Amino acid sequence: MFAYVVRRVLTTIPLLLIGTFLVFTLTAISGDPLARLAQLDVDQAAYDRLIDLYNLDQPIPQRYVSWLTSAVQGDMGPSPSQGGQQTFDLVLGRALNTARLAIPAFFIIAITAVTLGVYSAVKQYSKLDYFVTGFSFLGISLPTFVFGLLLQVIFGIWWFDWFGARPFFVQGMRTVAQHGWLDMVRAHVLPIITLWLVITASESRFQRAAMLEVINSDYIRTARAKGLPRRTVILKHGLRNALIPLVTIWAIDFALLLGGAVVTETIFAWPGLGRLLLAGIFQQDLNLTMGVVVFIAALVVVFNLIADLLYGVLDPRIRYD
Amino acid sequence: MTSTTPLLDIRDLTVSFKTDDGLVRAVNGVDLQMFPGETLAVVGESGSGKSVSAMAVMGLLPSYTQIEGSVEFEGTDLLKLSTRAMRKLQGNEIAMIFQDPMTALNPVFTVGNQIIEGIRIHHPQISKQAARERTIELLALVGIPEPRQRVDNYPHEFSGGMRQRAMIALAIANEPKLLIADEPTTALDVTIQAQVLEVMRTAQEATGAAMMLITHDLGLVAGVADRVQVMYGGRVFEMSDTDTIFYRSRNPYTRGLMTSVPTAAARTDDRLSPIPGAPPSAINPPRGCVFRPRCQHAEDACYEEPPLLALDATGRHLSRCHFAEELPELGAQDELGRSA
Amino acid sequence: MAKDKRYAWRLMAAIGALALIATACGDGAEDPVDDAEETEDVADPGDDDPADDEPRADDYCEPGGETPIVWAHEQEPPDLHLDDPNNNLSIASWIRQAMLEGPYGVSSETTFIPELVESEDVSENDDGSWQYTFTLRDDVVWSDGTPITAADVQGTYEIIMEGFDFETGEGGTYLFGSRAAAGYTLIDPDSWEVDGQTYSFSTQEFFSGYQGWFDPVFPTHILTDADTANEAFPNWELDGEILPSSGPMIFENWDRGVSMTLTRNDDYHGANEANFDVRNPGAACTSGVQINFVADTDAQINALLAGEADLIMTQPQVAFGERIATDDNFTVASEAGPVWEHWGLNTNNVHLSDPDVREGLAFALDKRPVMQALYTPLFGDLLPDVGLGNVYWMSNQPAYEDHQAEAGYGVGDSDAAAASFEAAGYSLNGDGVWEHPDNGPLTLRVGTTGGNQLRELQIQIMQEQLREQGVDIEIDNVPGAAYFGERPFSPEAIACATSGGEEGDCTIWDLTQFAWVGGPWPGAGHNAFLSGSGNNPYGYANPEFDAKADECDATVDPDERAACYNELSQYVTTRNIDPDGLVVLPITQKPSFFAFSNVRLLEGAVAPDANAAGPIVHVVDYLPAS
Repeated sequence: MFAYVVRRVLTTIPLLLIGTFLVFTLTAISGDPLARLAQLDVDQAAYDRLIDLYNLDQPIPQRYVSWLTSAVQGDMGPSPSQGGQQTFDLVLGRALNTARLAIPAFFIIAITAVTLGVYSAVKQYSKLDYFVTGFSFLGISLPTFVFGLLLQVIFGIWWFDWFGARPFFVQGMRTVAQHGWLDMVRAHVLPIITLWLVITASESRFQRAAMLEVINSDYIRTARAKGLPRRTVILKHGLRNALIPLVTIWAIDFALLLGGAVVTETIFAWPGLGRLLLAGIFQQDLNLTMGVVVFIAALVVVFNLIADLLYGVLDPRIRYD
Repeated sequence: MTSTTPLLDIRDLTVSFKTDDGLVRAVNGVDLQMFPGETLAVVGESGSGKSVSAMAVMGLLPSYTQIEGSVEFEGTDLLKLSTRAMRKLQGNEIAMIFQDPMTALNPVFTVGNQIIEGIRIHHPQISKQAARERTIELLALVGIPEPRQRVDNYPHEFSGGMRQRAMIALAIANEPKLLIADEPTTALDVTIQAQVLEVMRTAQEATGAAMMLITHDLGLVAGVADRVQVMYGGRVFEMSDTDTIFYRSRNPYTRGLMTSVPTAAARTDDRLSPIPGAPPSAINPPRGCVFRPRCQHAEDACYEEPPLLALDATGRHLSRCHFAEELPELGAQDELGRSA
Repeated sequence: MAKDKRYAWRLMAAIGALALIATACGDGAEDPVDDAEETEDVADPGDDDPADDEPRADDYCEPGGETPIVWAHEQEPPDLHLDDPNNNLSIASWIRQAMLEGPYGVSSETTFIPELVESEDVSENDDGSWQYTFTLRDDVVWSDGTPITAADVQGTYEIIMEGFDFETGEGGTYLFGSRAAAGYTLIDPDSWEVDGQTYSFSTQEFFSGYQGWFDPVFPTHILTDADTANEAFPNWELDGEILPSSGPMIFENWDRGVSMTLTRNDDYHGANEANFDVRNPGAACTSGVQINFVADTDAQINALLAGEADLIMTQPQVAFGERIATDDNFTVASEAGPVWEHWGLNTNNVHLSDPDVREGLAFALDKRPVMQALYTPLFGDLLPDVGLGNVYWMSNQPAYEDHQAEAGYGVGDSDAAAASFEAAGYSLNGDGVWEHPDNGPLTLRVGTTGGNQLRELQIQIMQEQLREQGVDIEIDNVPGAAYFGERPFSPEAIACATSGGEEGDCTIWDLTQFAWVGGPWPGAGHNAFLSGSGNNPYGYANPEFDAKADECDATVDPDERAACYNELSQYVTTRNIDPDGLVVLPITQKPSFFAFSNVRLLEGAVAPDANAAGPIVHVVDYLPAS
């Protein structure tokens, strides 16, 4: 097991190198930070500062090596589009903000997706199944920004017209320390619901499919033939098996959630990683873009590893050696 | 070997499924009796209704099936039992062994735990430790080597034959009165089949259970079953003691089944002669005798009127054929009835 | 240099796979900010009549209220070092407007108005050089209590010029765009004289943009040199101390990605008497301003409607008007600022290289359908219904003349258009499109920042209208501000433009639609047309124009100067002066558009030219409901 983890971590290194090199190169060739200055009336000094910052006078591979050399030492450089703050600190800070949405969202999503998926599989072709299916298609087909804005209108505007109160905030992050528990919760609800709908929709479909496959399997029949109560059959024998394929999906979804939900963060003015990445891209802040990308890449790698390890826990047929 | 009170008494069992194409009548008026301790072989091609009948006894048919008739087990009609009451019998009084041992065990629990679970659900007073000891004994009984170690193995660590042995151990764990084995050796390697049959017989002896052996393979039945019930198209076609079926079958379908079975004794230039045609549609069964389209002996009467299951003069041999009495005698020298 | 130099130009890069994420950001309708700059002049503040507005009320309000005004805005500044060309988003200047004052500010008519200055004197010396003498108000103080004196102005100059080598024209420690373009290099560094509230210096030639100098004045008792200024401005603090303000608001806190908070400067010395735009003569009424960074326009509107924002300001959105204008609880207002939309013509294009074709296009184009469809419904008669016909003066400025209308352009004159196209050797082909025997049919691509709804509609209306005139327009948009870097300002296109078609690639674009941003001093906009300027994508090159531009900037008399800029405009918008001119078709000013909550604000005061100065430039006049 330990050897497996070590091997997996080692194999991700070339992966990360190739990935970061590709992103670095694409970023570097697609957006010349100097191009923006071309439309402005500026002195050579303004160019020189940017050239110095990003080593623009060097070829891209060399720039990448310089970046990488600093990055592996924990120095991801200053972020010009964020007042020169250290990229590393910025990414960590924003990652925490994103986590405030991602972690509760993840658990709520997992619980509801499993529940809906299991119920609709067990009660296949029932009214509930059709309802869950309809909900899933709505969630999958409704663009996030439409749903997010709709929630704002419903709870921020209409709710007030109907009931004279506004239960939730429609924008901005609020913390317990600064605003107290109540406001913290009121600010988190709508973005979490937005994340929830989209991901739950797809996860519950996966869960339903996995569960359907399992409950039609022979070992479920065996379990029933043993005289086990239905609940034990479904939850112990069925769900335990149906969760195995879901683990990968959870890992990916969690990594994506933690990597920042660009649309949701944009609509709810949430200071998370997604918006930070957008800022990096739009303002041609190479250090920042790379910082966020590396962080997200690391998240994906780590959670894939966790998923693989969880597989081993859930499915004894899998061995790591 | 047989006593007079049946352990299991199935009367006029009819099982239908609703499908998009229409009502599928998988079992059509089946009668079946089993007596304590005996072994009854239920033989037929796929689609003959033999497995569905067994599932009806086990209470494992999906809720959307329509079941009519009665299935009395020790005098209680199982079809009228609540799910909860039925559960008390499942795996306890009546147990089942399934066809494919590769998929019949849950891959994520150890073999031992699955048997222990089966014991403790019916006997919660038995401690985990005691159940575990019992499980090890059972594994030993069914011939699993090193049962004390193997009890903690997962199914994937067992070979196919060992898994079926484990399934047998699971089935007999609560010393059932009725053991239903649904094609228990079909998925196994031929070399293993005989061993598993042997284990089943041992298990049956150890528990004194009656066993319903469901198979399509008449060859398997010979040394095992006391009685044979042949099914076709959801109906019983012939029923008698094993020797009678083998040597004095009075049904063209049974005879067809016999000629389609390979034997070690068969000469190399003998061709197997499968029954021509396909089993009847369960939605639109043929008019008259359901076997008529495939029957060599079919005459006009078979078209006009479905034959009834009728007793012969001995009073111990049932056959569903208009011409049961007129069929030629089987050659005595060829026990499998292959005419030269 | 002037506060009009607010390039909000952001060239967004769509980056490889990451571009997908950007696209996924959903509402591509998000406005890419664009522009560069243009110009405006010096209305001499003394000449304006302050009495034409509401009178200043000494008891304007009781300063009070605990809740700040909440302004939800789409952009977050990278930092507050406005002079760093890398970071100069409009929003940075808008925020700084409330904190630091300059000698002059900008009025609602996009003219200079005095802020710190009490009086000015500009005169010619005996040796032909020009002497500028200013006296600051004597009651002005920094928010830490230190008086604001003329030494601060000189200190500001010294910080800006620190390390600059006059011999080579290069160098400079303070982060700055172009000292030459801002006119700072004209000031004789040895000529400075400072005495109390009075400072003076001289230049060799008169410089008409002088009122834009030293805006804002730095707190030089804190910022002692260029390095400290560079260090302090980005995050508005030095060694943990927040920079003091000369304006009505003091920086308080910046929660990056969330909001920025400013609080009232209780010691604010009050707006300049001569500042007729401002009614409140004392400290601001509101307790502060909180700027929430809400990137999505629709989310901003929701925030306003949900009571979580008091004020929003966006690029004109049709939905914006519909949703808020109909609600009595909100006020929607618009101001015509110096941002102007235009179609730029690539003079190195095979068709457009012929001035007759360019003129034919000018005749063929009808701006009125655009105005009727897109602007009049939202802005009423704020703008002329024939659109814009001048690139140096805007329609709400006194010196404005519509040269294009005078020349008969922009009203879809098909006879005149036909005459021009025929003169260029074109004839109508079977498809009803003008076709040249050698160069083929008059098919032109026009591009803009895709995803900007208003611009896309604008292009479509003009495409349809021009088709009737026999001009075939193909739409060639690129999403967002990436358009600029890929089309008119791509290095190859600029190489073509600056080399007169000798180098680079002249086929990247034919027509371009975007906006330039101007300001009170029109001279800042020459660069879009000067020969060989990297700011000039059209490829216009005329030494006469270049010389005229210098001449205008050096013209002392304001009226003559205004006329001179009008002449310059005719070079590039008509063939009146330069028969080979006419490289831009100005379409309209693009007004700024904002809305505020009547429940929270009794008086909005978002008025003057929010495009250049931002909605809180007159934050002193905001009157919160108690």
